[in-house]
Amino acid sequence: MPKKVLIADDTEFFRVALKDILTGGGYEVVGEATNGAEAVEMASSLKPDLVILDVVMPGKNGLEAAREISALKLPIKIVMCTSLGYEPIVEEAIRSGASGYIIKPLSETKVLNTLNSII
Amino acid sequence: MDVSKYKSLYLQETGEHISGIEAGLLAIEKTPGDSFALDNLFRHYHSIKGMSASMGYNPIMQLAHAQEDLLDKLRSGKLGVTSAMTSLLLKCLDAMKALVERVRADEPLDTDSSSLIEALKSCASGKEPLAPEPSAAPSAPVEGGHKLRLSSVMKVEGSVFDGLLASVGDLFMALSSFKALTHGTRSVEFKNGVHQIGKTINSLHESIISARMLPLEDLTAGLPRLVRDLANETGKNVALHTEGMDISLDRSILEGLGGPLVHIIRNAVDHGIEPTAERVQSGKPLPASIRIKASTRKDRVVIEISDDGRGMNRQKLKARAISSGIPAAKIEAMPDREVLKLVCLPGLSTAETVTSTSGRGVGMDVVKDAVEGFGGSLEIESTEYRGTKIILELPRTSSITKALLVETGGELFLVPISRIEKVIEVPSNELDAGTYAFAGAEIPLVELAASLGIKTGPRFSRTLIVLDASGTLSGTEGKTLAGLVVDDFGDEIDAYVKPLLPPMSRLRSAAGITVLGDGRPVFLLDIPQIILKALERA
Amino acid sequence: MEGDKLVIALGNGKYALDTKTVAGIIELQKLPFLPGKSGFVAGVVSFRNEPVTVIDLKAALGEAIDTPEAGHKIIVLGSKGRLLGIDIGPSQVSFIWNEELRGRTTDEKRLFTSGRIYAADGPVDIIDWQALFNETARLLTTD
Repeated sequence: MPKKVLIADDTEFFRVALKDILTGGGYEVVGEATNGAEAVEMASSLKPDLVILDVVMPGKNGLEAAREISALKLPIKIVMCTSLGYEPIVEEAIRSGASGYIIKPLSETKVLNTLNSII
Repeated sequence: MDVSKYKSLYLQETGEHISGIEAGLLAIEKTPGDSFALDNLFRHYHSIKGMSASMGYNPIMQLAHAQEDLLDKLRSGKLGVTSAMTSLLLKCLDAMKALVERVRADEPLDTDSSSLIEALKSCASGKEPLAPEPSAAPSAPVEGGHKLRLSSVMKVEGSVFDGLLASVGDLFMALSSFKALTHGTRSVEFKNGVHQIGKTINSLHESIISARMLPLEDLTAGLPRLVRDLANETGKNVALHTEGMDISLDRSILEGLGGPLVHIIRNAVDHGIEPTAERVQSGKPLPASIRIKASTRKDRVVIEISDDGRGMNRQKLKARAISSGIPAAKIEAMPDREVLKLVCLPGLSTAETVTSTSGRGVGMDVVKDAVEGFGGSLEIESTEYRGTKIILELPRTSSITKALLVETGGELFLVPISRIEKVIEVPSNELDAGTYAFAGAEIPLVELAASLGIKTGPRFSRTLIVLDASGTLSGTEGKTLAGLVVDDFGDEIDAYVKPLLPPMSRLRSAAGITVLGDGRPVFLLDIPQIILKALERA
Repeated sequence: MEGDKLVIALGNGKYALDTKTVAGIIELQKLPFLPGKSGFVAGVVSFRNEPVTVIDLKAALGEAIDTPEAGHKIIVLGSKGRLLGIDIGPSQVSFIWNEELRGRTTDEKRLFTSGRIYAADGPVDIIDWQALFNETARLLTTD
């Protein structure tokens, strides 16, 4: 059975790109959230195997969402996604419960390698 | 990443972020500590940076990155917003827009943004921004900031809707042949069938029309920036007020309105509004105001653009018109509203000096042509020392117009239903006086055949069409009526009206043309023009 | 000057049009009215659902207008989105094929013509329909 993934990014561009990469890599994208609050809500209702969270999102950002999703105590892996220049955030992300990170710009191999190593 | 398939998405979302940045920068200029605006701005730059990096558009990525860094300092409170900063950010926005346009046009992104990036960096390090060398500024786009753009909320190509609308137009035409046949048949089934088809075509038409509608807001969102830049350029103090921007119009009309609107506003800032010192001296309020007010009148929209500047100088206008070759006697005989419209003659303007913004050779003539091109009309009101008001009346939707077929001297014409108050059969002798008593007033009569030069024979009775002539007669606030006299009237039809193309694009009496089901071409009358022309003669 | 020609016998003269600009020919009894018409502008017709301005070719070329004509034969010309109908009344049309043209054309110009063919049975003037189109647009500019 393909692993279920929830994508959270405020930019449709990245949601579409990530979905293409994930679907091509054998994952099933079960939901797309456009902000942190939606991500938390969808994580608890859809119970995906993995959530990819963009760090910079309106309202609740990715780090806050990561903290709340790990507080749900569900078997959900969290991967943070952020842009070049925000590496220091990664450390904070790991503390917030993330298992891995992807640095934008996205590349298919980078994304799939990261995910495959976590799941 | 195979980027080509993401390009349209990139362009669409970048466009939305750019609009967001534009609004955000104006917001922080007004309220420098607006943390909500600063957060949003940061996110917009951040998203543009990320998308551009993924697409490999490095020049855009670098520029967005430098702006994002500055915004990061601003939103964290490490730096305070200064007006020099917002000016720099606006300049960078123009450069970014120009670069995105190059992406759209598949042109190489080879413009050099390094001076802007340097200025951003020095700004982020806490120094007042060095104004970037104007010459080195990348394509500091001459009009980059001054274009009105629609957001691309429609995810379907506009041309798809044009095609749909044209097909519905053809359906309407086919329907009108069937409707003509129903007059000659007793078959109830046939009549019902035609009626049903008619209803279906109507609802199809309405859905397409509503899908094409966009609020004025989408067009005018860029105006605060335009006014700000123009005011800065001219050293004037101007505020923009808008009202009724939630009224929606067909996308094609809205698009066509962009150019004229920018031009009218440029004129107002450049020529209408006085320099600050002059306003202070004459006790006029500051900031000066430009007001855009939209309202609906039946199925049309009226957009008034008014300023509280110095008004138009009629003597200068007349003098210019005379020097351009119009006989002085003709000008002296003109009613006031026509004198003001002299400003719409090619190359005529009352400005003493040619400024960078309005003195470009294109003037109000282009505005008038554009507005009339999509079936609208333009009126001017102006009081010296008090200001000028330009009134545009436009159809809200294009293409399909409810119209009444009328006949005079054996020729068919269409009168838009939106103008018709009442249709009356009247014995011919009651119309001889040139006016007709209607609703307690004597309304002026216009004989269509005479107005167009068509020969007619004597008839016992005629058809009088009482028309709403608002916006065509001077001094009109309320409703003005006029009567159009024709021989007879026929069906009310949904006419798929095409614009008049060369060589007949400049006909004064017609606003468009349609082809009936039997192949007969019929002109849609331009009611305001016909009434005006008749009254000028009288 | 190259290309097959449609030849119209009009009054005392003969006139030619490039066949590749001819979009169609319409015959009708009465020409609908065009408000604001003046000069040689005659009216309007529809051709494949598009309105087309019609001019009276005899009036445009200064050929004598003899009898009030019964019926209209309108040649619709089109290229690059521009359409113009030219009413030739009851005049007859014939053709000159490209191979017959060789060595018989000159660039003698007259009003609204762009050249001349010395055909076997007399000279034929080639109509410059773009010039006619531009003059029509000028005639219909009412202001």
